[in-house]
Amino acid sequence: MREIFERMRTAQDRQELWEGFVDYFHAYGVRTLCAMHIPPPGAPDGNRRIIDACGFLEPMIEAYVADGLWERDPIRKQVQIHPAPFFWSEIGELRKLNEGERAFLAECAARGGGEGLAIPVFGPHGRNGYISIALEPDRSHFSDAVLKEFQAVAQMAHQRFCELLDPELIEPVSLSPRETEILEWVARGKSNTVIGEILAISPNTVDTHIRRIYHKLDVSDRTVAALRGIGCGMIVL
Amino acid sequence: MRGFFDEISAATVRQAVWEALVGYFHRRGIDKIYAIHFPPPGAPDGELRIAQSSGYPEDLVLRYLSTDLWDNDAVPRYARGHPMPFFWFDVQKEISLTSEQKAAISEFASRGIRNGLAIPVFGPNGRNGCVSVAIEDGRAKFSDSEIAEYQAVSQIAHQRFCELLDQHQTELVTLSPREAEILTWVARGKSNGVIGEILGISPNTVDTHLRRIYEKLDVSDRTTAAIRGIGCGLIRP
Repeated sequence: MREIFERMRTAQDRQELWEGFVDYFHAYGVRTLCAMHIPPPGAPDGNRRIIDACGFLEPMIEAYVADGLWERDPIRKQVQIHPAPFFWSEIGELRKLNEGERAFLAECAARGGGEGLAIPVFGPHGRNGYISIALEPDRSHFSDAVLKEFQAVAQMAHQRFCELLDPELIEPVSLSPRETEILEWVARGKSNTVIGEILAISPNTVDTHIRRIYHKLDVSDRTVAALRGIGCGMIVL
Repeated sequence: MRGFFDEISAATVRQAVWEALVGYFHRRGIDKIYAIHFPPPGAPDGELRIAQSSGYPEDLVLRYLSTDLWDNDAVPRYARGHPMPFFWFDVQKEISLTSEQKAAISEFASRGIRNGLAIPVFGPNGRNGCVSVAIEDGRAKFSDSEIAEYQAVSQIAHQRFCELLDQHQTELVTLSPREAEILTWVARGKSNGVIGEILGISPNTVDTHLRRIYEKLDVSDRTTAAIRGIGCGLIRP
């Protein structure tokens, strides 16, 4: 495992990282895998999904991305709230499926989708993702310790991926101490008037600060500003 | 590392996860370890001080947990905004410390605790943490590949910890699909009027749903509701 960690750590770009990652799984006989990057709400790239895949049939990938199949993918939804890897076949036990989600699973089955492991990965400021690897129907040939190793490798790959992302996407905006203080009160649900009372300044001054905060964070309302502040680690409640 | 993964997989209580982590570091000659859990804002355990330590003087640990020494430790605060492992010394170089933070550093130094490695760890719904290991005076610096391994081990321990916490945190409140939908739009910064238009219902109906959401989440405003909804994993905007 030292070797793959070293290779990922020294990868200079995302392509190099992905190649190292694919090679690692190939060595275990895993030939079909995909990775999805899920930026945090409110991030500059919040609406963009980055997907890398290897070994899946082209049309499958196209349907998933272009036809919006991923919108109905219950596994993708589950990984965002689930702390540990799970098998694709366990999805029905982990969450209540709606009609669209059941249709998605039926479609996957029809296309020959078998068993696999979904590995949620987590990063700074809620910058998450997930890795899926296809397994033989009899998944028992990987021990728990090997599956944990897969999880560790996937997680480290994700963190390195976050590091290699465009610096402007993750560069934290800097707020002045006063702005930070005000945003913390906003996140606690206080109105401008109440914040003014707490800080002994006029509601108008609070408003001016808040407009400046909106501008810096590139948002237009207090709820999104608060979420962004938390997500970027600028404020701590 | 395999041995550690076996232990982590077998751990069924949080204490066992912690013991596996401590054991791992002991085998590498590291005796002083502490871990702080950062529950997401708005989560039921959001206000708690959740920490574990090993190898530190008991009276210092008690003071740390029960006084404002906790708030004035600059390392965990810095870790919240920084994705990669860093040395404690770096914090003092990177940010201007308050006098309280400097006093905390002096107090630690007077007990022989000067430098260490802080490893930020990440989990679902912004449930993060920081694992710190002290570096004894005169000990050789950790190599990059050692740091990568410590990071992987700490991260896996954190995710297992979150998993064992999960049952207590998630099943407290449930939202109906409609309520979850509305709260998601609230978290995206939409007003009741706009949410009504999106869903094809009247703003009054939105308001009624929202009041019910407030009641369920025990909050009284939309920003806190959104933050709590995300922190509890009920929505993901």
